Amino acid sequence: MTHNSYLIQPAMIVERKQESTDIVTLRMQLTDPAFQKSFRFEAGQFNMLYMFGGGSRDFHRVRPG
Amino acid sequence: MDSDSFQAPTPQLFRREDFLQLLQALKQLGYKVLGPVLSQGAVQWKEIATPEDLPIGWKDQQEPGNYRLEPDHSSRYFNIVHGPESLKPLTFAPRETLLVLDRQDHTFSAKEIHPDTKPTAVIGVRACDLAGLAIQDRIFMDGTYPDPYYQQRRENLFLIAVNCTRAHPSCFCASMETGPKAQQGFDLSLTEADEDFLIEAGSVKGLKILEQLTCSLASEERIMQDEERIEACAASQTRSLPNSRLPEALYEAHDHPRWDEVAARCLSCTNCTMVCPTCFCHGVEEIPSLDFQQSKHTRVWDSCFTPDHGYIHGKNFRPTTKDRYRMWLTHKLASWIDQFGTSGCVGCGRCITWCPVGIDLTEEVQALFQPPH
Repeated sequence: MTHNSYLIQPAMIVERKQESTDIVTLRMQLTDPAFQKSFRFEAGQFNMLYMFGGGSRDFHRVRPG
Repeated sequence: MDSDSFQAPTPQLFRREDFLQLLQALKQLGYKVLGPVLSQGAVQWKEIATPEDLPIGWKDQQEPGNYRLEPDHSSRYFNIVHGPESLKPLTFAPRETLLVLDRQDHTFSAKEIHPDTKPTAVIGVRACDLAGLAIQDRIFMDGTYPDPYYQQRRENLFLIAVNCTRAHPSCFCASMETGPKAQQGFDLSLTEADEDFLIEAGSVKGLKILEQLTCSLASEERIMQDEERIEACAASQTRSLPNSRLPEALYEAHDHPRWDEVAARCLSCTNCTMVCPTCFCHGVEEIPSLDFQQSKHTRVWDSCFTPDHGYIHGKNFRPTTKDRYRMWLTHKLASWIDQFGTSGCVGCGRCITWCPVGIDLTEEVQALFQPPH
């Protein structure tokens, strides 16, 4: 198949900051070092955050962590 | 599909008694052959082995909120215009597992599930459905990241169109300029008459199949007669959309009282979006195993008429049926043009026929374009 944008890469949450009662900032580290190295994004870019067995939610990337 | 650059040879005559040759030629090339088959009071795409599997002796009656099959004395193979299915389920699966995720200690791995596809030939595709497929191709395959699940199914399709010589009251393809004659996107096309078909290739792949069939020269007169029958089918259509006023007039009708009237009838059942050849909303569900060590990441069709479609972070942007109907119609006929450069409607009429209360979008648009009373 061609590149599959549905593929999911594991990441560890290394820091969680409560910004307000219902907004948090998460700092994350991709667990695959090669993927981490090649991973690029623009500030504000749309991304999905997936929790094992729980489904996906959309969020916006702010800065490299 | 290479029909854009393909120069089609003159249509030929293909006798009904030789139709089995077409099925055999496709099967010899490894195609699974699908056609319209009687099922649950309508037709569905199902595998066919012989022409007798086609719905001979039946025709469909469609009008707002009503679909009925009736006996028909004709021996034609394709007298049923269409059923609830467009080509959509064949490329954009109603439910499919995209990934299987396995948990390992504090992390997990994701495995792609490749669609189980094989070359598939579809006989009896209508012009409106080719137009719908072209729209879905743009949604799923244009851009940097084509959808691999859709793409794999799409590349395996061989499409045999049947030009319409009979319209039902829900049809308005002529108004949308998508039919009744298949213009592009097919490999072979057929125009059915009582004893035979005019058959035409629309691609190199189609021509290779056509060359294996016993055909004869079609006279100019016969070709003209068939064109006239297709034109008469277009002329018989009574519904239309005022396309010259779209998209602007629909945006301007945002606060029209007609939305309340249609919302009072609409059941938010999602039928219109399920049968629509172009609606593409979907959600992704997680189906975890009982021990929670594995999860199936599964894509399922969704609809903008469901209560939670407009739910984002504590707020439902479309809490009422009025919000949802307005969103659907305005996207389909107006903002789709801004988004994709074409209307999201191909005039197949399925949303009219399969609406349980017979809401007719052409009637709604006409009312919305009138000054509020």
